[in-house]
Amino acid sequence: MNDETKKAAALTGAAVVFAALAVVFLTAGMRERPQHPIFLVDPVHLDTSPVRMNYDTLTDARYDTSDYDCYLCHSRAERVELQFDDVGDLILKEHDYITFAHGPARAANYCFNCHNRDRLDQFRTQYGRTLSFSQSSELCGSCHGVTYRDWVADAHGRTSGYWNLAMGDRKRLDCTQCHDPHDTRFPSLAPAPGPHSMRDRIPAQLATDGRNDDE
Amino acid sequence: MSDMHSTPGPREPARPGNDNGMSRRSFLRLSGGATAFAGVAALTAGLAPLRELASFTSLEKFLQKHYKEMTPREMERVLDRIAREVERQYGMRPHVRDLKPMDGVEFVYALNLSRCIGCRRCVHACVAENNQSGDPALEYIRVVKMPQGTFDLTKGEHNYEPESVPEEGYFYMPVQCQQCANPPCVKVCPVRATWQEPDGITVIDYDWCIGCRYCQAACPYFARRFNFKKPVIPKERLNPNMSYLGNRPREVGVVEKCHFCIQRTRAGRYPACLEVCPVGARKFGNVLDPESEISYILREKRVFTFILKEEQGTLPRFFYYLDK
Amino acid sequence: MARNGIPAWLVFAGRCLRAGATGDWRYYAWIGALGAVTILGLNAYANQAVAGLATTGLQDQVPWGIYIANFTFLLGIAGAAVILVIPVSMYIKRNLQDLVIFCALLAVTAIVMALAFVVVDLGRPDRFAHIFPGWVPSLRVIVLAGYLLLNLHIVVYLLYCHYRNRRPSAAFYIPFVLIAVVWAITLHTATAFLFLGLGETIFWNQAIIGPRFITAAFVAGPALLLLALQVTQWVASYDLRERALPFLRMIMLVAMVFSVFLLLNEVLRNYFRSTGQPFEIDYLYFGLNGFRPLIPWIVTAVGLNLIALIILVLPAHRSRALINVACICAVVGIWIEKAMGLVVPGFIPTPLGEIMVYTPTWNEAFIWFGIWAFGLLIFTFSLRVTIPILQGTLSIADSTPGEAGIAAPRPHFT
Repeated sequence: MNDETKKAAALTGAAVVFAALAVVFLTAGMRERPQHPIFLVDPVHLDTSPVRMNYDTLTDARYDTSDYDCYLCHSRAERVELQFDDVGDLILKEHDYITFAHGPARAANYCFNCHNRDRLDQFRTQYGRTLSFSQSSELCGSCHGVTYRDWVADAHGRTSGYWNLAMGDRKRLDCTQCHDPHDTRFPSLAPAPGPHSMRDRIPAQLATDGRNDDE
Repeated sequence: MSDMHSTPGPREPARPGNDNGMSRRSFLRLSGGATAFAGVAALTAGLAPLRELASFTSLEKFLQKHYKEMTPREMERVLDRIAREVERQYGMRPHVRDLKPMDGVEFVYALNLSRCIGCRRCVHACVAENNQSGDPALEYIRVVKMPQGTFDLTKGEHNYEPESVPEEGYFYMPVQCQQCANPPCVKVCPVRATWQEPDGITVIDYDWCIGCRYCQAACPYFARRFNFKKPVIPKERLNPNMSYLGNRPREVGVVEKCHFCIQRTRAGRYPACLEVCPVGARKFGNVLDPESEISYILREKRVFTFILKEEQGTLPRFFYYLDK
Repeated sequence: MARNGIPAWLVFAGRCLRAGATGDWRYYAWIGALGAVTILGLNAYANQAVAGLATTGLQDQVPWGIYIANFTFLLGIAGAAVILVIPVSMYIKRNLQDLVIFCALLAVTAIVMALAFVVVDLGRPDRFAHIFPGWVPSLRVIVLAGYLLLNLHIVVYLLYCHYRNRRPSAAFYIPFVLIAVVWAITLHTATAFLFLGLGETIFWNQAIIGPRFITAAFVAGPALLLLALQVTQWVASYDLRERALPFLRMIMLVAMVFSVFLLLNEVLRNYFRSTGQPFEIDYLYFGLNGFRPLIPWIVTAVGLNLIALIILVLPAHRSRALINVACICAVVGIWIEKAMGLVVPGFIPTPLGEIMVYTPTWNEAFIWFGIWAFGLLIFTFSLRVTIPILQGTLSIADSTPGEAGIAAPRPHFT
């Protein structure tokens, strides 16, 4: 082959490669790109309502509060007597749904640490002050002074609304809206889904194909 | 190039009486032309995908000034453009504002490590509040599960999925933008698209960011996220309360991060992650107000900054604290 | 001088373009192949521009990858190519003056490629103008663009003098060369500080990074140049080797010794620290928590560097085949060290202790190949123009009026 034939061959080869590239690009452009499902936030995880209800929310929402009407069952004249078993655990009859886990073992299984033995529909602090059911947080504060001080300063417990009180109101929760007073540990929760990296597959039940088209 | 010295084909003076040479040369011209044509065709076909970029930018957007250089009237026009775009895309007229920092306010966040149970509610509330993309799912807050007794983050776990939290023997450390008083991300930005506001929030002008990701490389807290794809927000999830520097829908190719829910906090409200936290581990407020809960915590509690990164000298406005 | 009303410089430009458009079949095949790869890269970039950087292997944890790695490598080449000029002009190796042109050409090519790598790395290339705040270029842009212009000036001036058979006036280029040399060192150290400034990562925040950049570039730059000279000799029988080879080889040898020494320093330093754990170095060389994706890369890099060093130290380097091997080993080894070895481990483990594996995608790789092909295209084209000028076959003397073609043929081999 002489020089010019080689040149022509090289050029033709380049032309073929270019043409092939053009074809590849065009066919690739026509292929439909797969649409990815979108990860949706489960509204369960957005719920800002407290895990428990205090007495006021129960009454306001007209829930059944008969449980708090002690003298439906108890007699005003008769003093409640507590019964303990051999190891010192409280024996429950009617209130057997209550579990006691407040402080060290058996420290709090004496009902009248908090409840007023003489007026069952009231609380009574260890220093003899009586409080209504709506004042439960003050009752807690009578023992848990530091935490109560934090709570009053909004440093303990949940708040919502406005950090700037000049612009709006702030809502502060009562102790019992997070803590069961008989079993004070905050309940366990199922964790929301973990992080999704770029190349993660999205669980089918949380996905939608509701792509938003802007064109 | 062996014929560096030779005359190239087409320029060579024709030798008389050489028909064969002539036809070879014309074939050479033909193949040269074919190559040029095929090359242009390949180039055109190769660049064809760019047609989809027709709606990528507009003259209006292209000429938009930096946030700090816009006059109030120009800002009004920009907010109107954003509202129009959101309405076109999501079928919902948003309330887009440009809230300014308040005098005498410096925001500080505190997180009670002895309370956090690692439930990740904050992560998802943040996604919903701040209109973060669902594909790929983009989250500002990362919760790290750590074995008790260490702050060595390489021992942490990010993808824990137990039946219920908290788990015995572990504590949980949510990490988000620490709103540093000495932010490395701001220093490295080549276009000054990110800066610190007087109220302590480090913000990003999403319309100015060029997407070089230098700030991501500089951040010691893994706080910044990049839009690797065009963000997709489900219509039903769009939060219409928007702010220019905050949660308005972002574009592809820009960086974003936690901004303390600027659209809420500059209107006096708490951030979304704080309100959703079921255990009240998250606390927020104005540190310049001695009466605020945040001042109370900084005075009364055992407070520390990000334990592993204190040596970086970033001076975070995000504190971790313990009750006891 | 104007002929037929056409200014002489325009005739010069026209003839240069024409010279670049012609060649033998090897030239056409080579240019065609490079063009095809460039177009492939352009198509990949079009895909990336439409779909976003999700087409790459990058993610929030590892926001920089191949693109930035190439950027730093190429800035190194650009810097080193010009710093090479120091000995040439200092020791007045008159017979090496054409090497200055080669160096500057390499620098120009490398800068153009580096800029291309920055642009493809951007999420919003449409906002590139934002780096000119108020239309005043920021310092970084002045540094880069100034360097490019300086080198272009040197190349074009020297070539035009050759073309017109004039002795280059020292005042017109020596000052520029010296400025370019200082500029090159600044530029390159500044690149190192681009990483050094990221104090979060101990891996990058070391004083040794700057010197290591420079020494590595002093190996890779001459190596690339040497390879280019070998190819030029092969295809154009333009032999600079007798004069340039010993000189380039000496620079490579000295720089290679320092480079390997600094590399050892960098690694060992981390194990003599009394506090903290060198996670990044561990990840790179030994693996972390069972993740060992970078070990093959770094072992290859260190191995290639050592092979190059051994060839250069031994008398064997006088063999022209072996010096090619040494050059290729050095370039590839240093490239890996700068890319997978410098950029990626800096991000791993992430600030929150995660370990992410970064692997470039095919689309990303096509863009990377495309830019390299484009760079080679520019370099080949400029050599194709430069060499006839240096050989005197493309000169003002042989452009007869009305005929602005290339000079009459000389004897040649085919």
